[in-house]
Amino acid sequence: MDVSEMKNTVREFILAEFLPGESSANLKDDTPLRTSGVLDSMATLKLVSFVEDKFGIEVEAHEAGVENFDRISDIAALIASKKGA
Amino acid sequence: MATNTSTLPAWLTRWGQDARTSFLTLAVLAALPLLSPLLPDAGPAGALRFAVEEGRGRNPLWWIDLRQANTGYYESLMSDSSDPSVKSNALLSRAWALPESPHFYKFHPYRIYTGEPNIKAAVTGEGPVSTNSLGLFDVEHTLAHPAGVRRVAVFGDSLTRGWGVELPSVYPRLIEQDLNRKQATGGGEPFEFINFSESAYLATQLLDVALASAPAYKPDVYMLVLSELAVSPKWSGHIATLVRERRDLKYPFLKQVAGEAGVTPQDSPDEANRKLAPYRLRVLRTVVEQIKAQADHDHAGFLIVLISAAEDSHLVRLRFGDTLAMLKDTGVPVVDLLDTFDKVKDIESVRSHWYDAHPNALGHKMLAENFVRKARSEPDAWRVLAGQP
Amino acid sequence: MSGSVIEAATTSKLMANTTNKPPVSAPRPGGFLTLAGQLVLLAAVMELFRVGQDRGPDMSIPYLCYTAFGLFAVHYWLPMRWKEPFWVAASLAAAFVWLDWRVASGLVVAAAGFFAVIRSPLGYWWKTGLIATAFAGVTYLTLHPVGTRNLFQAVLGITPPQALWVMFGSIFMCRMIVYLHDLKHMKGQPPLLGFLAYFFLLPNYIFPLMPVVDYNTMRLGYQRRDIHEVAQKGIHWMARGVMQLIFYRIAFHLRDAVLAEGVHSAGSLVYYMLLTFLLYTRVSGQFHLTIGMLHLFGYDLPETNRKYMLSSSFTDYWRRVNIYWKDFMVKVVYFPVFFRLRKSGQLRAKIVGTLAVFLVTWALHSYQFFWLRGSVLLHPVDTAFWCLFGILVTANIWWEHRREMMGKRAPRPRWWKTALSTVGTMSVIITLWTLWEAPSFAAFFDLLAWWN
Repeated sequence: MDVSEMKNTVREFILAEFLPGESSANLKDDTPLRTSGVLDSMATLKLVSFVEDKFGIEVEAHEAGVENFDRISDIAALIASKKGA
Repeated sequence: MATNTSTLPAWLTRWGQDARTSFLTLAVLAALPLLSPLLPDAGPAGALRFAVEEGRGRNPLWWIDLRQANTGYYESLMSDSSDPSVKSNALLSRAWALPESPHFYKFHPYRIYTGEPNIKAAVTGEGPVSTNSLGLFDVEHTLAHPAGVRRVAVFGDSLTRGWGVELPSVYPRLIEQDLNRKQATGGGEPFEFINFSESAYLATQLLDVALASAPAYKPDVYMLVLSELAVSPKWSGHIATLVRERRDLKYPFLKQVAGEAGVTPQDSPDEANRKLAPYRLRVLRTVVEQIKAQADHDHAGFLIVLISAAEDSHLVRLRFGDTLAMLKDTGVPVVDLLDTFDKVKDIESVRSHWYDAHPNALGHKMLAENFVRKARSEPDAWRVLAGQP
Repeated sequence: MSGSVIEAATTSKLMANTTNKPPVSAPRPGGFLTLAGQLVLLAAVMELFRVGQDRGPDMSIPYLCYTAFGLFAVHYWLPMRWKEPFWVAASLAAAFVWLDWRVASGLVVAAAGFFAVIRSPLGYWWKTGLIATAFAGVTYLTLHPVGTRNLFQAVLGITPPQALWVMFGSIFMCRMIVYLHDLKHMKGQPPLLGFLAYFFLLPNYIFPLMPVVDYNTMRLGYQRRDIHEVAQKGIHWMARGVMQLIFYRIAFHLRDAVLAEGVHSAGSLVYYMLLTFLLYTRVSGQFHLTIGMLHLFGYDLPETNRKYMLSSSFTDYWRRVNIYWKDFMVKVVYFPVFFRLRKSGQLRAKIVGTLAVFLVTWALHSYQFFWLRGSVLLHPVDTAFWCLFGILVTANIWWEHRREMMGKRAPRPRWWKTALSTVGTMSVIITLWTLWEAPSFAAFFDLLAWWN
């Protein structure tokens, strides 16, 4: 799975789980999610669980912060780095 | 990427709407204080006017702090004693320093502080300050009672002391002048008002002034002036301070009250005031009775005056509610000046500063006129004051 | 993308925070005038309403704002690479202009010492231990003022004013915890500019009580979006903050009237409790003002409070009332606990994490009180407040988890259900808040028993 597919997978999950009715075109790769309040800490944990299950990686506590889970591009980068892609 | 169909430049459309909303909001906010004086007092427009005036600091919070104890986590955290140590002192001392204020209070074992003699300072944190050779915030008076003069000893706090105004403008002085003008034509005794008032003196401090300092002047009238300090949650601050600093409470009834209330030197000021709160009326009543006893002993009259700062008169009356009834019950004539500023539309016009509810010269003039009008129209009060029916 | 830019901007709040092109930092007269015009209006509002002058002729808040606006006028036109150094230099200079020179010098010396430790080749735990020891040392000094004065007089020939300890605490007490947490996983050497920009925040000299700004969030958000959008958001928040500070005065006065009349009915009790709660607008107003001000200089930070009066559950309230504190707790307490315990059960991990958050919050609020007021807050009412609040939030989390496990996807609630939840939640919160504001349990129950 390339980075673009990772982004789309994450995007679909966020839209389905947290932003029902929102257009996928509006959820861009650099849309801030944590810092804008779209996702709170509980939502982040759900997202972490999804990412771990879907991509077979393990996220540590310090990796679940804004530097990795604020934007789709950052999430995809973390997944890619963990998978060594 | 969608085509920008707007006629506005692309960089403006994104945040331009926010800017427009912000401009409008700020413009309305800025216009409100300018337009609110035109609004009526009643109805929804009146409520808006009230909100705008209150929002501008109509009732400055430092004055209100006298009434509300700083309880609660954030109010305690952000109250004055923490802020000034960080910003106000540093900033005030740097940018717009007040001139060096002479030290115009000296220590007193019971009253905590009393005026330093012979102070003449035009600009201080308390406005112009002037004390006589005996430390009173007043002109010189002889200890010996001049013949043919009716002496009135006045005991009050900063409102009566004349915080923020020059000595000639303080209302006891104006009352004296007004009465003497009328006495001169009417052939009565001239008056001499001796002002024993001190800033922030509470009823228990005024008691000591009346019993320990005033008799030496052999006054014909003892005039106790009570302000909101007598009815605020911090009315007992003097007692709390004496206990905390392990000083002698001097008067047996105070020792009894402090004992009953369970006030200890370890109590914080707020905790001590809370413990003493149920004793306010009892203490005030005892103060009145003891001054009355002193006046009777000296064959002098005793008068109580109620006075308010330049602020919301409705609130002032609410605060005095139960106190009025108690005072009437003592049989001492009461001259109620709480309505002095009722009809003032712009309360700041009678304040020494917009943030300071002490009356300015105009405010003192209104107090003096109100006092003379009411004293003359109330037979009991006039009889005490003038010594004649 | 559907629709025009304008349409998208108004229909989706996602669009308000997104750009798909590099941040526009080119200054232009139209952009500057639009922003500056609002700042002028904001200054006029602050003058007309005498904002910050609640206690006399204290011009510190207005002067902070005018200084910031003036700095913005210069900062806006600077090349990108000069912006942050300018801001940091100005913030440091302001410390020496506004504070006693001994206070400013003390802060700079403390910061230099901390940075030297942080940049040293020591291991992470050695660095943390040294900094913690420094804090312990400063705590000891503040608890022994006479000895401290004598010591400083003997060694340096000057005595440190009390303000030094207050400002030291204000700047370092919570942000150092965040910084050390981020330091553990920081790539490369920690940059000096970032360190100074993080700790020496201009508004902090005037507002000892500051929101706990997150270091990573601050760095990530710096100049990330169009500077005009970020500055506009800041102006919007400053205006919101000013309005809250104005409202605070009204609430204070109305509460005063209730105190004067006394609470003699259920209606006046509810009114009094509501007004007591609304005194929090002083805190949220100041927070909006300070964080909004940082936006002017390119720091795209999250909001500090989000419509907390409309919270429909206790967890919702916790997440809205002080977002910076919540994020601080999530970062340093909740996530570490949750991630460590999640393998033994998600629910258990959530509950233990939440309880740990409230325990640490209680302790840190007392710690904060010590630094800003000089005395440790250990009061049964305060403890009871945090216990009750923690229990309510934990119970709420358990309930949410249970619904999730039962496969019940939360349907979009009907408006009246949301309204009922909101009223119910806020009623409990306001009651708890009144307890927290009371000087004792006796005073609180006395108040509730209005019929007496």
